[in-house]
Amino acid sequence: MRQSLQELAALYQNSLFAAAFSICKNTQDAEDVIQDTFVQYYTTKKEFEDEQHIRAWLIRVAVNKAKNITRTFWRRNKVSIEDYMETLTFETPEAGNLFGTVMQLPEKYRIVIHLYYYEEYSVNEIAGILKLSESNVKTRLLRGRAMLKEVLKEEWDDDK
Amino acid sequence: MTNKERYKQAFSTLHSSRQFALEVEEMEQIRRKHRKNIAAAAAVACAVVIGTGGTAYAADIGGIQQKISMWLSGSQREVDVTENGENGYGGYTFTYSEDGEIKEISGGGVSVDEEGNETWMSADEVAACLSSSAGIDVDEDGRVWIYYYDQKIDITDSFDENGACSLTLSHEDQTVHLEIKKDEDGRYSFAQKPILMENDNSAQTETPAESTTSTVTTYYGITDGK
Repeated sequence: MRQSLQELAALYQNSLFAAAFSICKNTQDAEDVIQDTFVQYYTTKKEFEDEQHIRAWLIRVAVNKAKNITRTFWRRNKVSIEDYMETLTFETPEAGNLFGTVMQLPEKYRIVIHLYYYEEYSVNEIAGILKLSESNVKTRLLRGRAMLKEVLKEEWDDDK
Repeated sequence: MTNKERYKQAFSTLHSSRQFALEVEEMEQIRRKHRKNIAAAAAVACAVVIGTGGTAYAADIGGIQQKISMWLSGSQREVDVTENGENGYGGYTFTYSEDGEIKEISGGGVSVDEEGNETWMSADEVAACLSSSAGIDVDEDGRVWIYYYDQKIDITDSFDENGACSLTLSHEDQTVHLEIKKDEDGRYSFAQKPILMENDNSAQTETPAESTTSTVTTYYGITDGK
């Protein structure tokens, strides 16, 4: 099956932006990633099984493209995450703390944490999207959570 | 509130205000631009040729790992390949002998698959890229030569009053158009464009492949180490 780009943009634009931003930590780069991801979807001849297959594929492409951008030598001058956070409005101070703490995590923990808590993917699904083993995803999730707990203390629960 | 709810609340503040291009025409335009950029990146990988003055030997610069056949200066040559980094990172150095002199050519690059994964090009892919790129050289008599696979063409008298000339060359199923220019310092550069052949069984028409233009600049004297 295929969905129109307009449908996909309406459904997943914010979700792709959040995933890309959690890696790039830069608005313009994250927006470039979204545009490139849509171009990739337009270009691919791939047939998808269902909407969830499309969603997972879009996230995988966006994550890969975002990682590529962070490795690019001539990456644009980025605004520091602290400066960028001052432009955002958080519902609560705790939400701001959580956002800032996640952004301080190493990239490999950050993306796993994001896919688990924001996209609500299972360990198995994250392993498929990131092409990692399940045990690797579990380890990253465990370490990422531990880092969050260490900083956020009572603002973050102990997950099983 | 659960951690998932906390997390979503924190990240719900992220929104993009950019108006993304989603129409077919806009997508085609962006796609063409992307393909140009990729072709240009590959061309960069193919541009460095260094004469080593006959003193260096491949074994001294990291060890010979494999031999590959490449087209260089109109001849098919066996070259020794040295990986400059791991798995193609840092590119490759190809070392060969020409007229008793040891020469090196270096290149590398990345390819991007359908899921956006970047992969460093293998030695074979870089060698194929280098082989498919034409070359330009000036001999001791001042004659200007273009090389393309096994073809060697004297273009010395083909330049117009603006110091430009063009020609179309074919090798097997590949056809390329070359625009060669001579600058004020007497150096030569050229742009190489693939030509797509549309075969309708009765006639062939040439369609310039605008989207896959690559530009290669080669300067007079470099291949001689001068």
